[in-house]
Amino acid sequence: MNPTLVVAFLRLRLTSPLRLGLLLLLTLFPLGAAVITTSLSPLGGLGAPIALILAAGAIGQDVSSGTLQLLLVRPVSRPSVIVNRWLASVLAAAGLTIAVLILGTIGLLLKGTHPDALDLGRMVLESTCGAAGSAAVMIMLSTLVGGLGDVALLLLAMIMTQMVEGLATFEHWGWVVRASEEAKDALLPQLSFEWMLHHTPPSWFAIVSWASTLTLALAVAIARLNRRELSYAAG
Amino acid sequence: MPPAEPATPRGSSRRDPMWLWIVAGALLVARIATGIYEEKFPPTRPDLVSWVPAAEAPARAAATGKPILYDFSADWCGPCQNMSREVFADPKLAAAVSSFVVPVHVVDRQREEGHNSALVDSLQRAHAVSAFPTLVVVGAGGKMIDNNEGYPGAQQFMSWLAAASVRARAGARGVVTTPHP
Repeated sequence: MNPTLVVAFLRLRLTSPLRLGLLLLLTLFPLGAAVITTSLSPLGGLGAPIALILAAGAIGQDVSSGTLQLLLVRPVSRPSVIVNRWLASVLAAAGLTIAVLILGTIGLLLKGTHPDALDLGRMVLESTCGAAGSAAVMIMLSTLVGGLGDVALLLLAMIMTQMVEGLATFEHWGWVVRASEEAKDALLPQLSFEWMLHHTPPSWFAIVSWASTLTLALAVAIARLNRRELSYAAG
Repeated sequence: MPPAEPATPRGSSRRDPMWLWIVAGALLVARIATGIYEEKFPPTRPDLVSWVPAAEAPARAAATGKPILYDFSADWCGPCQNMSREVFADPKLAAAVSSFVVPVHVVDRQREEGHNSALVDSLQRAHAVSAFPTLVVVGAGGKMIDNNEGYPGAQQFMSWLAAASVRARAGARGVVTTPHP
């Protein structure tokens, strides 16, 4: 981990008015809903969307603006840029989620409701894992296209998968439905920790699928950036 | 000031981390293997509902003032397994079921053993069970309050059960039929 790279990336992200506005929208409404309904459920799964907002354009935007070329003049390896930007997105998403959950818990305590500690722990773990998976996929997509093209690419892939799944369900094509479900999980990798509450063994397939998507996304991102010609002349 | 790494990396700054590809490949193989395994042997969750034997249910219902829920199911019935996994294995929902009703699990063994016990047969006949799962809520005095054929999903099942339980406690008379949830 390179703290300088992490801090520099987060400074860039958290000074963008558009991203800050989106983050506020994403956290304030569920927070209000949690206090009104006296349940922390609306705050579940916040990590993934927060990570997507932070990681969007992580590489593509900097390539388009020429910032990455300038950064790579320094003794910084390309893989470390990818890994540290992914790490920064995950840490910030986890931190924000925890902060929102703390505020939600305070709100609930003020209304006389005591949230379950185990449930809180599950939400933190699920949000962090969701953030790690989603940020890895977003950064991989960001190495493929310039600017914020990764957002369009992700939306397009999600819409296509949804359409294929709908058609396959209608036509009873079992293996296509299964493939579409796998593709959807790969686009937004999540990991459920419900088993913690039920005191039952976890699904190893779910754990391995999430870890596999995450590592593959990071490996592809690094391979793609390593093979990309990045210079002012190339631009 | 652009950030610099703490130590200057040796060799090419574009070298692919081989260990990452090895880990990714190994995880991909494990993903396929666990996928096939869990397709054949889906993970099971223990049933958390405190089921009451059918013979004891009327006395228990009279003592507690709760209606009886008869859950007619079979081991081979897919929706019954879904209901078990999503409702009866969920701590909160299982607790809610036990607080609303006196739950009775009636398992059909016709396909496996060729016949059912006399009690199971009589209960199935009494409630005209023709498919699984069939859920029947019976109030005080053995009056049927509501019934539902099929598993509509955890949320809808709980709403249906809560409504039937309230009607039973309010002393509803006769058979009340509501649309399937």
